[in-house]
Order: sequence, then C-alpha cells, then structure tokens
Amino acid sequence: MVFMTLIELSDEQLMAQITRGESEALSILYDRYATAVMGVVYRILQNRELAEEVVQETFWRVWDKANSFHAVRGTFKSWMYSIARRHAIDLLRRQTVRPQAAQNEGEEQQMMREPDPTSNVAEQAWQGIRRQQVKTALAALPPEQSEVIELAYFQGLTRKEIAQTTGNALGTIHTRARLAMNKLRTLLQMEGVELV
Amino acid sequence: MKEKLEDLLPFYALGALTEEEMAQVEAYVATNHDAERRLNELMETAVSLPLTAEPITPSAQVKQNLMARIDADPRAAPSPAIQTSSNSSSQTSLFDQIRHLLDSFRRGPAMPAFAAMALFIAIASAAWALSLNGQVRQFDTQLTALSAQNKTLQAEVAAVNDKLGQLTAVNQQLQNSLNDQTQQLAIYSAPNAQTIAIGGTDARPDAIGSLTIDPATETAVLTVANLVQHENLVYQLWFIQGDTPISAGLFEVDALGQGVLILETAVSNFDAIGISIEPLGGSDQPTGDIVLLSVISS
Repeated sequence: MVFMTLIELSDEQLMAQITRGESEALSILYDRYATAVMGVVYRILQNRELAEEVVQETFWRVWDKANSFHAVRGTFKSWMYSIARRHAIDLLRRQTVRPQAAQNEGEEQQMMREPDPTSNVAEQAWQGIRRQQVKTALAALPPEQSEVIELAYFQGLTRKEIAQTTGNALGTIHTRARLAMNKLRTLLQMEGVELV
Repeated sequence: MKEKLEDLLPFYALGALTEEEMAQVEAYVATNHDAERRLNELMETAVSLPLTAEPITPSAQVKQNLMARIDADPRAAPSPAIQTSSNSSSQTSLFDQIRHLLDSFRRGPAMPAFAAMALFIAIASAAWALSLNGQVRQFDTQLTALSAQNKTLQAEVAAVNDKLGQLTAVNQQLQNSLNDQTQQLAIYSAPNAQTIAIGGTDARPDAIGSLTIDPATETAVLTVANLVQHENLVYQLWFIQGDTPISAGLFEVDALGQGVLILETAVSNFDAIGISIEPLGGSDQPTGDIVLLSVISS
C-alpha cells in the first residue's frame, strides 16, 4: 500500500482525481502550470487583464472537460496549452483585444520578475535552463522556418494566412513547417531536452 | 490525399488546423501507425514551445475566483483533502476486506487459524497505516512551512536585487563625478598651469569665468558662475581665431548659476574665448547672446 500526497502525482494521475471531483487536484495543476500558461497567453494577447481571464478559463475547462481528457491525443500539457492557445487566439481574432504595450519596459520586466510563490528556487532554475535550451534551438532554425512556427503557434495564423503573410506558396509553407519541426526536434534532443 | 494529410501533421501539432482538418488527420493516423508515430513526435516537439514564453505569475485573485467557481460546482467532492479521504477509504476498504475474508472462511476447516492470522495481519496493517498517515500529515505541515519560507526568501532576494541595482547606479554616478573632479584637480595643480579670467558682457555683466590650461597635456577646465539656468537652452564655449568661432563644447549650469566644462582638445592659437547661449544641441555659429568674453594671450 503506497501513500502519496497529491503533489507527488503526475499530471495524468491528477486528472484522474479531477474526474472524481477532487478540486485539490485541480489546485495542484494550477500551481504547476499557471505561470507558464500565463506567459504563453500574454505573449499572444499582450494584455495582462485578458491573459488572466484566459488563464482562469483554461483551468476551468480543464476541470469541466476532465472526462474527455483520456480521449485526446498527447499529454496533459499539450491538451492544456491547446485549450489556452485556442481561447487566446479566439479573442485575438474577434478583435476584442487591442494589444496594450506595457507602460514602460520596466513594468513588463517587473511583471516577469515577480517570483512564482508556488515554485521552489531549484525548480525555477531548472525551468530557466530548459527555457534557454529551447530558445537556443529555436534560434538555430533558419529564419523562414522559425517564422512559420511563430506565426502558427504564437499568432494563431492558419496555413493559408501564413502563406499570404509571407508571400509564399502554400506548398512552401508546408515544407518549411515540416523541416522546422523536424530540425527543432533534433536540436532539442542534441541539447538534452527531454521531449514528453 | 495521403501526401496532403502528411502536410497537415506539423500544423496539427502546432494547433493551427481547423476542427475539420484535425478530424481528417485523426482519421488518417488511426489507420497508419507510421503517421501516428510521426504525429506523436511532432506533438512532443511542439509542447516545448511554451517554454520560449517567459513565465508570468497571475494575480492571486485568478486562482481564488477559479477555486470559488469550482467549489460551487455540484461535481466537486466535499473536503477533506484526498490523502485523508483516500486513507479513510483505504482503511474502510481494508476492514471490509477483513470482514469478507472472515465470512469466506467461516464455514471452512481452517477457518479458525486463517481467521486468527487475518485478524493479526489486519491489526498490524491498520497500526502501520495510522503511523504512516501521521508521518504524511507531518510532512505536509513541514512542506507548507517551507513553501511559505521559500516565498518570503524569494521576495527578499527580489528586493535585495532591486536595491543592489539602485546602489550600483548611484555608485556609478559618484564614480563619474569623482573622475571629473580628479581630472579638474590635475589641471589646476599642473606645474605650468595658466589661468585666464573671462568677464561678463553687457548681456550678463555679473557673469564671471576662468579657463585654466595645462600646456603639458593640452587640456583645460572652464568654470563659470553667476549665469542663468535655462531649461531648454545650453551654453556653448567658442575659441575665436580671427573672425572664425570654433565650438569647444556645451555645458549647463546648476540652480546657483555655476558650471564646469573639461576640455580635452588643444587650446592654443586662439585670439579670444567666448560663451554664448544656444539652443539644445548647440549651433554651428554663435546665434544667441554672448555672455562671457575674453582674449587669450598666445
């Protein structure tokens, strides 16, 4: 008989708890991923208030749709980020958002420097290393390939919109996306980044 | 069609497909294991992309609102926390199991021995479970305390870093000021230093100035007093050779009307020296009032 605290459970194990109505499991997942989700959503929307709304809605949907998680492809993280991105991009496309730059660079940097109260220092340092590894790998891609990833993932453009924006044929965009993802995977593996 | 759907796999992983396109890809990979493997690899790669966004901590209100919404949901199980309830349910199910075990051996020949052994195992297990449960609660308490300490330390580190940044900036300002004053002192104390007095003109009769030159290094320092501090104007120093004024630098004065300018250019072979008021950034030729003027002896 093994006794484990919630905090030791994997994401998928916590999702199983959530399907049984355990709100504490959702709280643990929120503490694990809220800062990362907020970062991604803010990068898309450039509006803190709306980014926080999306974060709240994302984790509500994690709770609300927990029973459908087992049927989706991929890990909990990919499912969660897809919920967050889709919601953020929906807002962006409905043009209800007017991106608001921070009043000054200092305010934006301050927002990013605020310590995450739920993460210990070692975990933060480890995440920082991983972040730098991924950024390095992305920067090593040819610009036309990293551009496709940026436009698709962070700006929510469709394939045709990317083709129009970059002035390239759809086939070229397909090729660049395939090459970009394959090369990114290779670079990440060379950097020792664990792909899960 | 197959080739076209292969083209969609990277975009599926990037979340850039329509619902219809996603369904097409799902149907395609359901019957093609190689394609499914490629898609899974692409999704593993894509899940690293959020790391390129800098993490941002949402305000505490976000989680409060979220948990309040969840607690109000009829699907939410009542407290206490899972470990307690799971331990309770484990202990309950253990006792149930004991009862079932006793019932199943009630009618058997070995029932008494098995029953005694089962009872002994159950009592020992329950005692062990209670002991572990106590340890778990203790660890949770320690974890909560450490988390709070960690949060405090992180805030203190952030505050210290901010203070360090401020002190570094102040230190740099002081260092710059010290460097300027050291340079001035060197010129004043040069063995053959020459000082030229500069008098005020009709535009500013009370103004006074002096130019101290170190011929060895061909540097000089200008000091002025009794000038007016202007918000959107600047004072410009001119060395005049014949009829040609040559700019030697810009400076401002403080609220007391005092100013200093260190010149690191050669100051010989000029007939006169003057100071005029100019727009910010200076001028190619004197355009404003000349407030100080003097002749340099060559």
